[in-house]
Amino acid sequence: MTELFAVNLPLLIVVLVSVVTGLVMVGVFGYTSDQKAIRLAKDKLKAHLLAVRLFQDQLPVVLRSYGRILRGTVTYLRLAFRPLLFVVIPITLLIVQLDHYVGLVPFRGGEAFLITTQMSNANSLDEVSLQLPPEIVITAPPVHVPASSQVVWRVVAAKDGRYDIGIGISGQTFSKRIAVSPGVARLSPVRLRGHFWERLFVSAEPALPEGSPLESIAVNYSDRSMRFAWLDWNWMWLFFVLSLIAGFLFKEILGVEI
Amino acid sequence: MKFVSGYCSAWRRFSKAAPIFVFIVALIVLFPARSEAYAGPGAGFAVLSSFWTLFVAFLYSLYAFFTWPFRHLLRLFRRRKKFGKQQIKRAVIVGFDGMDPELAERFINEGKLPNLAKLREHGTFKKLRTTFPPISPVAWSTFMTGVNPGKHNIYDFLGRDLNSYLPFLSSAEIRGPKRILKIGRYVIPLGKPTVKGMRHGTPFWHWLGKAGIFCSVIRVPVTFPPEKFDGVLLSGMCVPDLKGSQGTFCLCTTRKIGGKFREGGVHVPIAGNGAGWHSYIPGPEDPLQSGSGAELRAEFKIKTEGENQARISLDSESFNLKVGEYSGWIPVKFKAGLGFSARGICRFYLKEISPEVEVYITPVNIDPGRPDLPISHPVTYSIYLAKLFGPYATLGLAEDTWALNERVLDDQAFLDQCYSNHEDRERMFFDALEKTRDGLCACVFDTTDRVQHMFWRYLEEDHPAARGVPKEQRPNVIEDLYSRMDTLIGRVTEQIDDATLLLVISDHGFKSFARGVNLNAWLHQNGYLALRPGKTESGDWFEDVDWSRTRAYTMGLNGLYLNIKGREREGVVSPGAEAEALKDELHRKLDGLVDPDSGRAGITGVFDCDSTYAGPYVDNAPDLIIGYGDGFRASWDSVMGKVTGQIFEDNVKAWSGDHCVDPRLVPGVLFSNYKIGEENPAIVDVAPTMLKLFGLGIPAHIDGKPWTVAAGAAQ
Amino acid sequence: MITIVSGLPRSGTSLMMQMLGAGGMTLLTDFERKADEDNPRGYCEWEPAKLLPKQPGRIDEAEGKAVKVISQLLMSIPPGRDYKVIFVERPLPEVLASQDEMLRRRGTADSVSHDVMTRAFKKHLSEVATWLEKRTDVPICRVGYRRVLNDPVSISEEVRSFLGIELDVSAMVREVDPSLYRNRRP
Repeated sequence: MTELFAVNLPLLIVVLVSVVTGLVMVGVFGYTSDQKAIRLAKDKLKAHLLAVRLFQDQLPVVLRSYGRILRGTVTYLRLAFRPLLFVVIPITLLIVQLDHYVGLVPFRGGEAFLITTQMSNANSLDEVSLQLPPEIVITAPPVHVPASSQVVWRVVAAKDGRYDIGIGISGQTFSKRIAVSPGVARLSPVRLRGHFWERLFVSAEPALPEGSPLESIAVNYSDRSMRFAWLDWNWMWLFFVLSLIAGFLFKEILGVEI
Repeated sequence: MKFVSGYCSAWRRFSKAAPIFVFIVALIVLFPARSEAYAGPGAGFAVLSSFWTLFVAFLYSLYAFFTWPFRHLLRLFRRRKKFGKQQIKRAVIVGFDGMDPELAERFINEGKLPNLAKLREHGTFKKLRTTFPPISPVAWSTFMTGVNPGKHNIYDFLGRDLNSYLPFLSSAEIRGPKRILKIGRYVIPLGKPTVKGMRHGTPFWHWLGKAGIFCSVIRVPVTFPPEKFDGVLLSGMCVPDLKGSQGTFCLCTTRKIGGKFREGGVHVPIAGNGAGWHSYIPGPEDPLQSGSGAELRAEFKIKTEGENQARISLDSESFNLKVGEYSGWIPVKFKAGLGFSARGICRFYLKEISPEVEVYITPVNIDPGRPDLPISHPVTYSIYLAKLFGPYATLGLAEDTWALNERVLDDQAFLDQCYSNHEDRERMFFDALEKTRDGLCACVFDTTDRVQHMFWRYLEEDHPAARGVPKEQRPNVIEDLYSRMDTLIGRVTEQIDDATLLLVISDHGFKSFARGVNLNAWLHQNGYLALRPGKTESGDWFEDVDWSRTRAYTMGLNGLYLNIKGREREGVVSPGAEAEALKDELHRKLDGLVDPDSGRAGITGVFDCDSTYAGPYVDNAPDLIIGYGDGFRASWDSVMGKVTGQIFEDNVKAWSGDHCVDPRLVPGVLFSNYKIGEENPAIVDVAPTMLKLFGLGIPAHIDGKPWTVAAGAAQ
Repeated sequence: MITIVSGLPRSGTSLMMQMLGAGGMTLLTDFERKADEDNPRGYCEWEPAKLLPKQPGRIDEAEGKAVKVISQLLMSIPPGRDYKVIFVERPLPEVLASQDEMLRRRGTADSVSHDVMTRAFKKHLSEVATWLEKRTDVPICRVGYRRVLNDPVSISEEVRSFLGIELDVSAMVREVDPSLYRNRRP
């Protein structure tokens, strides 16, 4: 039973969040938009569309109507995007956080994975060491890539858990959290120094200190693919589609003009 | 942004999104971007909505563009069948219902109608002979079909049921759905109501459409239900309200209701107190309890906000209204249960908020954006106009003359309503004019008729309906009305070229209605109509009339009927010689009937249907058409089949002008930018003239004669 | 040109045929149906008209003549000929009364009520009218029976003008005899 829910949990999370997001978006849209103006803009668009059909034998009328449709679309979009200004940031943050949970797949017990450290320069490659908890073992010697100032280790975790590995260099140790689990876990594929925007969207860990010889510590979690309606989905596409559907349903119930 | 390999996938997703987050509008222009590039479902909604609109428009445009040559060829092929040469590229017909030639001429001579003056000077101005009788549904039916009423079957607003002697609407019959499911006392309709048009004959735009000539026809009376043809049409006079009547207004009031309105409206109580009031709008019959008389209702609440204002809420709509102000068109939904509902639109007018609360509500019109009955052809045309301009009045008799007659509205409130409807009509007309670059564009404006009906009293010094109103206090309503119509014509002439024929016509003129003639009273007093023993008067619709001893009766505006054996259910007059003799007798006695009070002839003409009409529907015609004299008309009681003790009486209602008189007294107007050769043109000639000018043959059954038309002098 | 006189039975079509005959037109008639009390001067009928639905070409026998084709058969006339139709109209109550009288004289009774007959006739007249509107090749002149009796001069002149041939209007007028207004009641 637990395995069953464990398998479907990411999908369940995406579906629930999509539905709630759809509802909230519709509510925010209704509250922050000029509903009357949107209704008018949409009505005008529909009218010009009907004009194309009603007066289809009169080419100048058809072409003029098409021009009016284009102009009307710009007006409508201008009105429809105003509410987005209120939700761009919260939605973005939501997607970022959700991506940590459902965007990547945690490592499985016994599955080999890579730990890659990015150095500031290639001179200190020999000084780097890897400190592992007992549950994780190295399966191959480190690979030095001087051209890109990287050191790569291949390791395996024997059992599930959340582990902190350490990268030692110049007398300092910098940790990186790793999740090994069959289900859903909060994942951070990289720990970065600086790169504020990248950290915001990708990393779920504090930044490496400024001045550290390491630029980043990364692990190669796989992208998660979700099976839904006989198709394999990237979770964001699924979220997009489901939240739209939910939104269109809720807009009818709440009487919001979109 | 720097990409970091190894964990690229996550960052890739967002790095692409960043610039797109910033440039949202650019990405949305035509096609939706990838999922990671949107800011949530909100953008998705906008994208989807606008994309869908553009996509559909694009498809339609492609179809229209690529098939246009073929459709154009097909049109040319259809046109080559016509018999003559096409003389005009486009015709614009502006109908001003009831515009009177004598008034028009007077105002033109006074310099108040410069645009009509120009038409008179460079083109044509003549009187246009009207129909027998000169009633709008009759005249406009003749206008569009080119035949006399004997061939189109419209003789009045009302016809009479030969079994019950009760009236019915002569232009259309609305019946319930063909299939129903009865469950206990509930009747579940399994389809829409059916509407059958009773007007026969073929409108001339049908022939034009068949020949590939595009026509836009707006609010011509007696075009409900709309007929299919190649063009667009919005139905006019005779479209019912949601209750199925020709306009039932509603006065919601906290005052004690004294009695019923004579016609046209209902009282509805407002309940509550200063904290809040509530009332309802009466709607159509409950379709689930068909035949029970139960009506649907839409509840609404009123909350006073200050001395002069209230907030009205119904369903999902709430709006503020000041005293003396109209609301916009408010959608109303009447729920019947089981998912059935009827939708309409209406306007509120706050009459009073303190000490009593009174709200006038217009008749509930069919919603043009979601019509429950067909009011346009194609069905989408009324929707198109509603989307383009907002909701508008669809009721045939949209201007609520009954409310003014019953003094529920005052003069200004009625005028505001009229001109609001008129402005909507102008917008529709000019849109049609813009879209009909060649072909026919025809539009009828009813404001002229309604305003003249209700304000003629101010034109005459001694009209009974305006006695005691000093001259200086009489508003120049009718002069202002003609001036507005003249301005409209000015706008039209600016938008047409010399290759476009402009006709400005009216279906009849106007005269004063100062004295009512109760013909049923005359028939009773002269032994032609009998009442039950002990009765000296009847109720409405011949209540207490003894048909077994009645040889003649009148109902409607101009019709007199014999009670014919084998025709009427309780007929007593034998068809043939006896009926003929009786007709002759009535003709002799009524023609020239003098009003003893004024000494003037109340009836100046009596016309036999046999010599007036020819056609397959002559049997439905009144036996005699009564032509009332100048200043006279059938009294309010006579129209409703009521027998009273008085034959002649003052008309003191606001409805003080009329045209349901001797047709020879009320010709209409004919203005044109072209020279029209016919000396004595008639409204029946318009249809064949249009066919001839567009190069088509004239069907043999048409009664009218085409005019000779030549381009006028430079405008 | 084929001149057709049409209308409902008992609507005055025989009288119109007689007027045309008196005016100088050749009538296509077989005199099979003899004059009787219901029509003292004869019916002027042409039996083969009943075959028009199956043999529409028979109408060619009326080229240059006037022929009576009752309204029920009118819609069977084939296209491609030069027609002119004179349609006689009489108020339905009179038509029904006249039919009743005829049936009574023959000792038969019509079991169908006037209500039903009126509705049926009205529907039929409407169908004929619609058919005629579509047949733009068939000009039609409608004449009211009562007008024929009350104003035979105008009617005769209208008919002559409609047909566009020389007709003896005075002779046509003389054919109209008001004493023949059947079914008069005291």
